[in-house]
Amino acid sequence: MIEYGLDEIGLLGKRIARSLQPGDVVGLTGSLGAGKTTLARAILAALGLEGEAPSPSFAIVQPYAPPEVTLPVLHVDLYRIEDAAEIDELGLFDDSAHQVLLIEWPERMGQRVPAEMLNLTIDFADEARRRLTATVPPAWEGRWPPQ
Amino acid sequence: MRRLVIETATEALSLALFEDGVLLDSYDAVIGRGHAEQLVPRIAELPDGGRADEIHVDLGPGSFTGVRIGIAAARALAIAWGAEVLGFETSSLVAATARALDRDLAGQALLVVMEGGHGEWLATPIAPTATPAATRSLLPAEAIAFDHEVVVGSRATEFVALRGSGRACPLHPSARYADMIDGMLLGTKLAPLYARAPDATPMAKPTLGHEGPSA
Amino acid sequence: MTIILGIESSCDETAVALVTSEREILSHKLATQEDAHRPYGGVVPEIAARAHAEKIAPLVEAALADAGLALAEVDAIAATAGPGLIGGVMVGLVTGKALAHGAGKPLVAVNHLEGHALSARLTDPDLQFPYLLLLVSGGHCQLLAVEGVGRYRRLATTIDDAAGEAFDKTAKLLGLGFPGGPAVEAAAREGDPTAVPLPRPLLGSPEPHFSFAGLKSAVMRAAQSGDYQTNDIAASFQQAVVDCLVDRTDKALKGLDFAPSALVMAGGVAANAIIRTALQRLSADHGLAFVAPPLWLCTDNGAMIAWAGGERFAAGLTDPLDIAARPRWPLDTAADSVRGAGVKA
Repeated sequence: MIEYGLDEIGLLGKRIARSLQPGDVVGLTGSLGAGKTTLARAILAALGLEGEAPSPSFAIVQPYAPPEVTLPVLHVDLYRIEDAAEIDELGLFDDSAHQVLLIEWPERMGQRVPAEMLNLTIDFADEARRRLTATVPPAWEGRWPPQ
Repeated sequence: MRRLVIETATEALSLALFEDGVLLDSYDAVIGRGHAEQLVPRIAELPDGGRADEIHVDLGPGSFTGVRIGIAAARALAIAWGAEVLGFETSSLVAATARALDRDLAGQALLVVMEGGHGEWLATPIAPTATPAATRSLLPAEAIAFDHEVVVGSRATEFVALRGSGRACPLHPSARYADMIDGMLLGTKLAPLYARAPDATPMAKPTLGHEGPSA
Repeated sequence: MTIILGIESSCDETAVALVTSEREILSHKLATQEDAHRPYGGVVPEIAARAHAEKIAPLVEAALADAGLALAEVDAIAATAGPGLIGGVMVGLVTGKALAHGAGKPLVAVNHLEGHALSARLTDPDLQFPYLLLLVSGGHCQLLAVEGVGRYRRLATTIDDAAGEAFDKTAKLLGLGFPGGPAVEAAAREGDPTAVPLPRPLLGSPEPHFSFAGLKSAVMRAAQSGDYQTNDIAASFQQAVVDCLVDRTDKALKGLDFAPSALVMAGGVAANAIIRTALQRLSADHGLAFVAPPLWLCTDNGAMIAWAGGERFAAGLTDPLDIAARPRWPLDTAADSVRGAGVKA
């Protein structure tokens, strides 16, 4: 478990970004307002994104590709997904070996959750601090906690 | 009678224009992604801009994005040209391509194995004459339960290496062999085909090789 | 007179319309979950790009049939090229490209936001450039100076969530259903807007930017406390959004470096009657005309894409057949990135 202040999110984003490899799937779990999008933005910023990263809540999928970031990333928000079958239609895994998936509300995937997903659960410590709990799959052994 | 064939469901972008069964022109490239940008310009470069009375399009299963793009383009061209659209399955064109390139495969059972994304392969057993069985999206370790000697498609080499036996014919489907697809395998229902069961119950216990990953 | 066929597929509506340069809407077709059954039969998945792929062609045919036109009589094909759900955008754009190539017509790739930005000019022939636009939708909350076709300056934006997103998430939290806008508005009618103390993020701050993430969290806490009625939370939430939109737009109006012909409101959230009335009052206070398109033109539709495509076509702006769909596509590409909107400090 990692506890962090919202003012330290940049550093956390950098550490996670440094550990990422093509093909990784990172789930971001937590209640509304926990800071899932904030953490995803910090990771994208650490991957080199200079422009804005809009919340993917509405569009569901926001893709990023080099040169604006160092790795291709799909930033995904499944909050609006009602039926796990709709996940297939998003084509998230069409190019899965070559990109990183950052998925908010991964629990909406039901059994489609990839076995190799690193799941990060964000809980409130207090108004300005959060706790990050990781479920670490074999693919992430030696890479978590990120340095 | 002119026929335009559109293949965008796989890593290939393949087009062919036939007149009364004779190939007029074709285009083949393995592009991986970018079908949405390249498809219409490549059609436009065919004789008479690819104009046809009949359009045949790959319905999948394959890349979700590629399948939708192919169908959308085929139907829009059909509106503009007053043409009819028919769909075929990816495995039909892969098998036709394999049999066209290797005459010895005529009358043999084949297993079509294509990239499925998601760490899975799309596997379709094809009997010598009958209609292909349904395509299933399988983890490689599950897929090699098929015992077909001849394995064709974009992941044929990896499949045979993993199983340790059989003959691999690695290839991408080519629209120029679409005329070898049995007419029985062409349909007028133009919905994309999905290998993962779309009505899967999210919390159901996974059974062998259907709607995706199990832990 | 020119006739433009417009295609919209950037979110969960598939829409096709035929609009003339004389502002005549010859036909408009929309497939949502409610009336998708008519052209198609069967339930349309909420977000499915597959549904777009299956519905667009029948909608194009229906729109042409309604207008009594052949595709050959259309002067140009306009299609949304972004921003939005990329799978759907690609399907609509490829349909547009194939129609354009097949019929030998020019293609106009339209920014979905430009569709909203210019939609008021479709229904109001007197609306002149420049005007101040409040664009509020599920994915966006921006104040823009609209100076001409293709000329937009972003004056303010949300630093976190869009206003419509706050409506959707509030509706979901309160169990009111999707889309959240109409659901919250209906519940709010039965509630007391002063019942629940909620924050007004950024109220009074010097730059006219917006913020709704804190409001969303406060709504969640209010709902979880069990101290309040659902309708009261909905009404109090809606009032907080109104107060923020009015305060921020007022701030922008006071700091403008140009004389706008009107305050224009567009986007799905502009369909909310309470928000509309509040912005209308603000316009009156500033002695400014207020223009908002009719409700059906505020939510996603094909007519606004056809109209924006027509405005671009008239300006000589057409696009090649290899143009790519863009998941993110700001109207003002030169706008500075706003602290918080991408890189939270």
